[in-house]
Amino acid sequence: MLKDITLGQYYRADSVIHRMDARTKIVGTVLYMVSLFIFNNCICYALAAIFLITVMALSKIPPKFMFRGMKSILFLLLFTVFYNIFLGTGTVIVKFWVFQVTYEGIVNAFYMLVRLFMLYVGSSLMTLTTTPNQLTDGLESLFKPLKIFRIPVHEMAMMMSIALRFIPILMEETDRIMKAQIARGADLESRQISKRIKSLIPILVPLFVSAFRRAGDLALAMEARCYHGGDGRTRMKEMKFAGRDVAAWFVIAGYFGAVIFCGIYFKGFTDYLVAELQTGLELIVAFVKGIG
Amino acid sequence: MNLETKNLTYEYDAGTTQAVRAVDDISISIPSGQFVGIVGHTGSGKTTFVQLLDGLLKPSSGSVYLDGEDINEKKYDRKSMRAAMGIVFQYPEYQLFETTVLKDVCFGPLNMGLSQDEATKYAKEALLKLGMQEDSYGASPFELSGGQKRRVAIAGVLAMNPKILILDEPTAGLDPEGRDEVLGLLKKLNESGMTVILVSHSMEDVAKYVGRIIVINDGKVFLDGDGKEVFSHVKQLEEIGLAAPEVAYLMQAVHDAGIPVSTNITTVEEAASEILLKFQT
Ligand SMILES: Nc1ncnc2c1ncn2[C@@H]1O[C@H](COP(=O)(O)OP(=O)(O)OP(=O)(O)O)[C@@H](O)[C@H]1O
Ligand SMILES: [Mg+2]
Repeated sequence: MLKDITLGQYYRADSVIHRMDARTKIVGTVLYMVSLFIFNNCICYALAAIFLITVMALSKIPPKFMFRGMKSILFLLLFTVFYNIFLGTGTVIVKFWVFQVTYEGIVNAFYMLVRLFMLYVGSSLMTLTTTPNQLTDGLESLFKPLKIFRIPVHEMAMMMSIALRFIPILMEETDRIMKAQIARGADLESRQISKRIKSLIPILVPLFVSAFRRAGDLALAMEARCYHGGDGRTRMKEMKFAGRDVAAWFVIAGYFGAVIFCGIYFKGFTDYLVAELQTGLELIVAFVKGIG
Repeated sequence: MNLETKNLTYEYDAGTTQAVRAVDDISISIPSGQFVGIVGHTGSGKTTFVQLLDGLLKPSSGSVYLDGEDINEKKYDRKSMRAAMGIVFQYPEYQLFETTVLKDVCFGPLNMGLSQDEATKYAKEALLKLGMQEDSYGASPFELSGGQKRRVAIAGVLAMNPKILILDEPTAGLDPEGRDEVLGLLKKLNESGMTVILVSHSMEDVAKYVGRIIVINDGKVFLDGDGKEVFSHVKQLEEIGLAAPEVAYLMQAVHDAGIPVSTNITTVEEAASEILLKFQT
C-alpha cells in the first residue's frame, strides 16, 4: 500500500550515461539548467531539446519512465501557463477585469512551458541514471573544498546516505505496522479528520520506537567497526574520471558555447516572433470580420 | 468458521522485472476447529499466505472464502471479519504503542466496538492466559523484556476473542519454557473450539501440537496431511531444505539396527513408549 511512493527513482540499465562519473552528471545538469534560463529564444531551446533527446537516447531509459512522475508538476505547468497568458504585459489582445491576454504573454507562456518541461526531464535524467549513493558521493567530492571553512562535508554526506538507506527500511516497517494494527481493527480509512489523526498514533509510535532503536544499533555497529569520521578514510568504490567523462565535458562545453552564441546572435528572434504572431492574428480577425 | 482458498496467487512487484510469485495457486480448505501448522523454508511464502488469509494483502488472482463468502468482494463486511480472525505477526512486539500494557491489549477489543469494561475484562483474561500477572498491567510496554513484550502482543490479539487465530512464528526468540507455554496455550484454545493456524520453522513444535501440517515450498502446497503422513516423506522434505523431527530419524536408526520398532513416530513421548514396549516384551 506504500509501494506507490518512489523515492530515488533509479532505473537500472547499462548505458554510457549510467556509467558516467556522478560529478560529471551533477555539474552537467546544473550547467544545462543554467543554459535553459539565460537566453530567451527558440533557437536556444531547439539546441537544448536536441541535447536532451540525445542524452535520453543514450541513457536507454524508456520514455514511459521519464514521464511517469510528470503528474506531480502538472499543476505547476498549468499555473505558469495561466499566469503568463492572462497576466502578462505588452500589446493587449483582449482584456477583462484584471486579466489581459497579450502577444508577449502567449509567447512567454510557451517558452516557460518548454523550459519547465526540459528542466524536469533533464533533472530526472540525472536521478534516473545515478543511484542515490553515487549522488551523495559525487556531492561530497564536489563540496570537498568547503572543508577549509570547517564545514563537515563528509559527515553531512554520510548522514545523507544513511537517511537514504533508511527510507525503504522504514517504509517496509510502516507497512508491517499498518497491517498489524489493521488486523487489530484500527480504522485507517475513516473520513473524519479527528479520527484519522487519532488512528495515526498506533502507527507512528511503534515506527518512532523502531527508528530510534535502529539508529542506536547502527551507531553502535559503526563504532564497533572503528568508524571515526572522514579523515583518512578510503573508499570501496573510487570515483574515477574516464575517457567518457572527458568526452562528456567536450560535449557539454560545445553545447554551452553553442547556446551562448545563438543566444547572442539571434537576440531579436523573440521580438520577431511576437510581431509575426500579431500580424497573423490580425489577419485572422480581419478575415472573421470580413465574413461577418 | 470455515476458511477456504481457491487458486490463491500473489505476486510482489507485479508487472515489473523483479516480480516475485510468493504464493502460487494454493487451493486448500481449513474447516472450523482445526489446528493447522504451516511449515516451509525461509522465503517459501508462509507470511504472504497468512496475510492473504486475513485479507491484509489483495490476491493477484484467486480468492479467499470465509464461510463461503469472498473476503475481497467490495461489499464484504471487513469489520466483522477482523473480529472473527486474529493474526499475530512475526515479531509482534514491534506493534505495541500504548502507555500501559492493559491499554495496549484493550486496543483491539475497543476497535471491535466493545465497552471499556468488557474490553478490560477480555484484556485481563487474555493477559492471564499468557502468564502476565496483574502487577505488570500498569507498566509501559516498552519497559518489558522481549519475551514479555511478545506475550502482551499475543494477548492483544487474543483479547479480541477471534474464532480463527493465525500466528506467524510466535515462538521465534522465546526461551524453551516460554515456547512450551505459548504452544500449550494454543493447544488449549484449539480444544475449546478455536481454529488455530500456526506458521513455524520448527518441525518438532509442529509435530507435537498440530493436527494437520501443510508444507509450503516455493509458494505452492508441497505436502498436506497429518503429522505421520507428512513425515513419512522424509526424502522429499530434505530435498526442499526441511527435515522430519529428530525422533523420526532416531526411530529409523533403531529400526535399521534390527529392533522392529514402528518408524511412523513423530514425538518424543510416542518414541519412548514404543521403545519401552519393545523392551518389555
Ligand atoms: N514486501 C515485499 N516485496 C517484495 N518481495 C517480497 C516482499 N515480502 C516478501 N517478498 C518475497 O516473497 C517471497 C516470500 O516471502 P515470505 O515473507 O512470504 O516468506 P516466509 O515463508 O514467511 O519466510 P520466513 O520464514 O523467512 O519468514 C520471498 O521470496 C520474498 O523475497
Ligand atoms: Mg515469514
